[in-house]
Amino acid sequence: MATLELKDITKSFGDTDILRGVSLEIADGEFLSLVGPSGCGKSTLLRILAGLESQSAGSVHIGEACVDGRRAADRDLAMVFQSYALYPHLTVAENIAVPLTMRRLRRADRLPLMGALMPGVRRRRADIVRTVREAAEILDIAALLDRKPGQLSGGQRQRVALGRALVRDPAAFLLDEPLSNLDAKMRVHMRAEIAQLNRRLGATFVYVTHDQAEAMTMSDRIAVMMDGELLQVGTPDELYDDPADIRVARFIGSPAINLLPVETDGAGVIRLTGRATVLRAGPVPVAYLGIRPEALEPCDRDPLLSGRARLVENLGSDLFVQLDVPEMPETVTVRLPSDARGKIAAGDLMHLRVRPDRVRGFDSMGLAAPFGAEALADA
Amino acid sequence: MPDTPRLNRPEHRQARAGSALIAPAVLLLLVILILPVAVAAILSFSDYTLGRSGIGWVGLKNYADIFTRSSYRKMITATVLYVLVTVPVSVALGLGAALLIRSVRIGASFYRTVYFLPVMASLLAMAIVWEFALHPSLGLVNRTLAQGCGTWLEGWPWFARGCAEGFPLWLSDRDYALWTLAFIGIWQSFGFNMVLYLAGLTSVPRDLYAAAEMDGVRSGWARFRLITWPMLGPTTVFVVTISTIRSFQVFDTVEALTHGGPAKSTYVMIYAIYEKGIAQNLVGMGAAITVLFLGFVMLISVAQRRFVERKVHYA
Repeated sequence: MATLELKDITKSFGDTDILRGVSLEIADGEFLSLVGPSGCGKSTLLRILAGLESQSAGSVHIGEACVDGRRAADRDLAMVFQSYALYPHLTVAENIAVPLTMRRLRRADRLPLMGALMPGVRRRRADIVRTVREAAEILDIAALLDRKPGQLSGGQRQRVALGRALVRDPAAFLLDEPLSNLDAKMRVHMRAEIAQLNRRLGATFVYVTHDQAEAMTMSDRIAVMMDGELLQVGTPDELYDDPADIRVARFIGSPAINLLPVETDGAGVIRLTGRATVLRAGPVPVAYLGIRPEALEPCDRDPLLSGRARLVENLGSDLFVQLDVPEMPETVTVRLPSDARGKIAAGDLMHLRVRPDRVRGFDSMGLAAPFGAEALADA
Repeated sequence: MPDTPRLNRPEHRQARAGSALIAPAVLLLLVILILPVAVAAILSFSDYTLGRSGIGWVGLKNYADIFTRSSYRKMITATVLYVLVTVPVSVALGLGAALLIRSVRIGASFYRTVYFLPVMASLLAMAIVWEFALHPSLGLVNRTLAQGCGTWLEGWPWFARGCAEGFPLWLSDRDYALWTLAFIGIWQSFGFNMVLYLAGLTSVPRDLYAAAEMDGVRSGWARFRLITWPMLGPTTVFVVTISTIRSFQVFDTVEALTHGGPAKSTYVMIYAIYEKGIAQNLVGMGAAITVLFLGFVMLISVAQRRFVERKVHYA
C-alpha cells in the first residue's frame, strides 16, 4: 500500500511530445482512472509509472521514495495488461506463482532437480502453493489452476492476470485497459468485480481506460487526459457536473452533452440564436452553453429551445429524443423519463426549458466560464 | 416432397463434379511424387543396371549388404555422426546469432546479411575456397596455426605435436575429415537457422517481457528460460527438423573435397547413392540406400509430429 506521485512528467519521441508536463498525486488505497481517447498518452504515463518506459523529464515517487532510475522489477508494483500477457506454456497455478518464485526463491533454488535439494526450498515452495490457492479463491478460479491459458475464456484469463497481480501484495496495482478485450456483458460484470477488489484489498489502483463509463462507475477520482495533458482531475460527480474544459464535458457522459453556440452581448446578456436568455455572463464572455440531455424538460411557454423531433430512441428505462432546432449546427439530445413513452413521435414539435443551475458556460477557448450572479438570482 | 432419384440430388452431382475436378491433381501427384518412390522401392530388390535388358531379382540381398558389409556400416556411422554434430551446433549458433541480432540497435541488417551469405552462396563454389584454405602446406589455416609455434600455445599438447610433426591434413586424415566437413556444414547452415529464429522471435509478444519485468524477472537468463525459449518451441521443432534433413542430404562438400574418403570416413548416404547408383551404375544398390535414406527422413518427420509438436503449441 502506498501513495503514488507523478511530478511534471514529459515524454517525447523525437519531435513528438507524448506527454507535456503531467503532475498527479494518487492517495493510498484510492481507485484512480486515467481516461482519454486513444493516443492521448495515458498508457505511456502508466508505463512510466511502472518503470517499463523512462520519462524524458520529471520524477516518479512511490510512497516517500523517488523511484527514477529504479527498474520496474524493483518498484514493487503489479500490472494487468490489455492482452493479459499470460505465459502460455505455464498452467494457471504456475502463472500466478511466477511473481512469488521470482522474488522468494534465489536463483539456485529455481534450478530444476538441484533446486529441490537446497535448504528451505521445500517449505517456501509449499508457502507459494498456498498463497496461489488463496489468490485463486478470491478470484473464484481455484477450479482452473491446472489449465493452460489457451483453454480459458477471455473473462477467466482476465481473472488469472488479476491473480498474478494480487498474489504478492504489491504497493499498487496498475491496470492497462484490462476489460477492452471482453464482451459487453462480461465487461459490466468485471468492472463491478474490480471495483470490489479495490475496496476489499484496500490497495491503490491506477486504471487506464478509454471508456468513460468504466471510469465513471469504478473510480474514486478520474483524471481526464487529452493530447498529452491532464485536463481535469476530480470525482466522477465533479467531472460530470462541473467540467473545467469543453473537451471534458464532451468526453464524459453518454449520450454526449449538448453544446449550444451562443453570443454574449455588451451588457453580458447571453443570446441563443439571436434571442436573449435569462442567463448573464460573468467576467468572461460565454461562447457555448453545455446542457446535459436530462437537464432539458418539456414546457408549454417561454421555452429556451424549440425544435422538431427527428428520432426517438426508446431504451425502456429512458427515452432519447434527437431534436432539429433551427439555426443549431447539431441536433439537440433530450432525455425523457420512461413515462413519456408513446407520447412523442418523430416530427412532433417540442418546447424545452432548463433550470439555470444545470447549465454550464464555456468561453471561446473552451474553458469553463461561470455565469454572473443575476442569472442565479433569476433561478 | 417429390422423390428425387438418389443419384440426381444436388449434393451427389456436386460430389461427382468435385471428383472429376481433382482427378488431374491426384493423377499428377501419383505420377510425379509417389511413383518414383515406388519404383525405387521395387528396384531395391533387384540387381538392375542401366542399359542391361532384363532384371534380376535378388530379394533382400541389397539390404543385407548394407547392414553387413563394412563399407556400408561406415556409411551409416559417417552419416549419423555428421548429423549429430551439425544439427545441435548449427541450431544453437543460429539461435545465439538471432538473439544477438535482436539485441543490437544498429547494424542488425548488416549482421543478418553477413551471416546469411554462406546460405546464399553455392556450397560447391565455397568448397573450392575451403579446399584452398585447408590445403595442408599452402592453406591459410595451417599457415596461420604455424605462426603460433614457439609461443605459449605450445603448452597445449595438440598444438605442440602439430608444430613438431606438421598440422593435420584436414581433408585427407581419416581422424579429421568428417569433422572438417561438419564444420563447413555448420558454417554454411547456421545463417539459415538464424533467419528462421529471427522470424520466430518477432512473434513473441512484447507484453510478455513487460509482464515478466513486473513479476520481478531480473536477469536475461531468467527471461530466456521463462519466455523466449518456450515461446520459440514451435520454431525450434521446425529448425531441428529442417536442419536434420538437410544434414542427411549433405553431398556437395563430400563430392568436391573428399570423395567419401579417406578410408570411407566421409562416405555419407547421398554420396553413396550417387556413387553406387550413378557412377558405378549399380541401380539396385543405389535404390536400396535411397529407401533406407527415405526411411530415416520419414522417421524424423513422424517423430516431430508425434512427440514434439504436441508439446510446443500452447493455444
